[in-house]
Amino acid sequence: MPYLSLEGVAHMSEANGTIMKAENVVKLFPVKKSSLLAALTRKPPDYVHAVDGVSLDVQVGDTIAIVGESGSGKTTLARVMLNLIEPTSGKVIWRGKDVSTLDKNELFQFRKDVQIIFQNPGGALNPRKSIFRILSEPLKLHFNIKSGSELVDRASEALLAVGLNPAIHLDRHPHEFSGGQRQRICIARALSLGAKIIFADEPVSSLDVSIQAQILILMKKLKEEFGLTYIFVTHDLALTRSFASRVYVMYLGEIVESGPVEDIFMEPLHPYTKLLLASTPVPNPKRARSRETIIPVGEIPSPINPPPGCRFHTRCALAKAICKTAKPVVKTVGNRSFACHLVN
Amino acid sequence: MNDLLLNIKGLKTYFNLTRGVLRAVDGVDLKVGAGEIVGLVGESGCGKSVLARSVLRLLQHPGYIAAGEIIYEGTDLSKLPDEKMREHRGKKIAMVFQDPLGYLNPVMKVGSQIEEALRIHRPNEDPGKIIPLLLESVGFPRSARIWDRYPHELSGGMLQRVIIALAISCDPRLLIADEPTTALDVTIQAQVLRLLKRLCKEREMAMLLITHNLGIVADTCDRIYVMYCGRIVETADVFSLFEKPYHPYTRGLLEATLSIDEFRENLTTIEGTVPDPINLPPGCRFAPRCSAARLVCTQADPPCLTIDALKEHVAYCWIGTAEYEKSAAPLTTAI
Repeated sequence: MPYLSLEGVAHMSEANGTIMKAENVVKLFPVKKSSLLAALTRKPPDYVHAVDGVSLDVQVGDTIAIVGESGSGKTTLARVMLNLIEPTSGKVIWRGKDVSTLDKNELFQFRKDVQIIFQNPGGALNPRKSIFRILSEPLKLHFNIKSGSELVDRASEALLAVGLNPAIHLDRHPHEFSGGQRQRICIARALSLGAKIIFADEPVSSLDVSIQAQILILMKKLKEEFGLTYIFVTHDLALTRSFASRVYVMYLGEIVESGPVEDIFMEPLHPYTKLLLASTPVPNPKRARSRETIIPVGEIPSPINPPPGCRFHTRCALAKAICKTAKPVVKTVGNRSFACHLVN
Repeated sequence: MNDLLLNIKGLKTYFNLTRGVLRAVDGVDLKVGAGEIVGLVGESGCGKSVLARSVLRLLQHPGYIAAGEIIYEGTDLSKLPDEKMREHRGKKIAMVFQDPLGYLNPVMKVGSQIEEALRIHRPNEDPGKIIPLLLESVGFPRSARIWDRYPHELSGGMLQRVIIALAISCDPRLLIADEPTTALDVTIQAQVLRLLKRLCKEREMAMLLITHNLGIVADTCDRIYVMYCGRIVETADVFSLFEKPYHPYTRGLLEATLSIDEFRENLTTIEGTVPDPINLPPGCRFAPRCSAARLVCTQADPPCLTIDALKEHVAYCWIGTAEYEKSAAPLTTAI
C-alpha cells in the first residue's frame, strides 16, 4: 500500500502531544423574530446557547467521545472544531494555530488532515456518482493528480483498506451498497486523503448490531494501522465504554464531566453522568433488575434561555438552593474534571 | 405462563412483488400469556414489524397472510371478517409505533384524538372524565392540560406518552409496541419503558415488545423470541436466553452487543450480511453466516430442539442432533 502507508509513516514520526484543542468555545445562534415583533418589543434577540464555554484537548492517538442527549450541543461543537462554522467566541487550535486565521495553504492541509464521517452514510455519498468518482474527486483537488491510473491506484488502495473489493466495487453507485458498506466507503474517502483526525458523528447508530461491530472493528484496525485520532460524537454509552479513551459529557452546551473512560464509567461523579448511565439499558437481565435505578425527571430544557445556575438543576434529584442560583465552577482532580456544587 | 392470550401458529405473511415472493414471515409460532411482557428481537428486515402488523391485519398491499392461525382469546383473527376485526383493533389489541408524530393528526388537539377512539369503543362513557385520568396515568399532571395541546407543541417523549394513553384508552388486554423508544433519548427511553412496565402491571395487560435493542429486552421482558429472516430461531425465558444462548445467531448477537458494564478489548461480529429475502438460502437461513454450519444445515430446515423445558427454552438448530454429528465437515461457502 504505497500511498496510504506513506502518509501513515509521516504521521508516526510526529511527536506525541496535543494535536487539536478547543478553548472556551461559545456558539450562539440568534433566534429569528419577525421584524415587526422585534420593533414592537424592543427586546434584544434571543439566542440558542448551543455550545457555551467548552474547552477540550485532543492528544495524538486519542479516541475521544463527546456524549450527551440530543440538543446538548455535541454536533455543533464538532462543527466548530471542524471549522465548518465560526465560533461566537473562543478558539480552536490545530497544531498550534488558530483555525480561523489559517491561510489558503494551511486551510487545505487542515481539510486533508481533519475529516468527518456522518451518521447517515447514504446522504454523504452523491447518488449519481460512481464510487471511483466519489473517491477520486477529493484526490484531484488535494494532490493535483492528473494521471488516471494513479487515481485508480489510490482509490483502490483506500477501498482495500476498508475491506471492499476495488475490482467489483469501484464502478458501482452508492445505491448498490448496504448501509455498512456505504459507511466503509465514507471511511475510505477520509483515509485516501491521509486523514489524521477523524470526527465520527454517530457513525454506527443507523446500522444493525452485527454490522455496527464490523464497522467498529474496522475503525479500530485503521486507527492502529494509520495512527489515527478519533473524535466520536455519540449518545451511545455502551460504544463509548469499549471504544473511547477519554469522555466528555455534555449537557445543554456545557461539559459537565470529563475524564478517562474507565474512571467515568466505574465512578461517575456528576449527577447527569449518573443519570445517563442508569438510563442506559444493560444486556444482562440479572443486572438490569438489581442495579440502582434513578428516575429521570422531566426532559432537557430549551437551550434558548437555559436555566440559571447549574443547567442541570431542573432535572437533578439532588439539587439544592445554591444549584439554582450559582454556576458551578469546574473542579479538576487528577485527570478528571467536573462541574457540580455537590461533588468535591 | 398464565392462560394464553395470543397464540400464533405457523404464520406466513408474504408479499407478492414483481421480483418474486418475499417471505417476510415464514412459519412463525409465538405465544403471549395474559399479563406477560414478551420481547421480539431481530435486526432490521427480519420480519418482526410485519409479524406485529399481521396480528392486527394492518398489512398493506401486496402483503397478505398466506397461511397460519392468529388465535386471540379463542378467535382466529386471520379469518375474521373486516367489520369484526375493527372491534379488536384498539379495543382488545392496541399498538404503539416508533414514530409518534406520524400517528397523530397535526391539526387536531390531542384530547379530541383520544375522544375519537373513546366514542367508537366506549360510547356510553363521558370522554371529559376519562381523558384527564388517562393522561394522568401516563404521567401528565392534570394542570398541564395536555388535552388542549396540538401535537407540534409536545416533545417526542411527551408524544409517545400521548400515544400510549391513546393505546390504553380502551383497556386492551394486549399492547403491541413496535420500537416504542427508538426515536427517543436514553433518559426519556428509560421513562417510557418504566411507564409501559407499570401500565402492564396495573392493568394486567400483556405486551409484545418489538425491538432491536437487547438491553431493552433484558430490562423489560419476561420471555424473548429471537427472529432471523422471517423465522424464529430461539425462544426462552429472559434469564435462560441471556445465560445459555443456544443458537449461533443468538450467541453472535449477544457477543456483538456492547454494554456500559464492561470494556471489550476485542469486538466480535457476525460475518457477512443478511441474505436477500426473495432468494433465501435453503435449510437453515443463518447457515451461510454460521461458523458452525455443516452440510445438513444447508439442506433441510432445522428441527425444534428443547433446550430447557422448564424455562420454555427452544431453539431451531441442527447443532447437537445425530444428523449434525454425522454430517460432512464444515462447509466453506463464500459469504
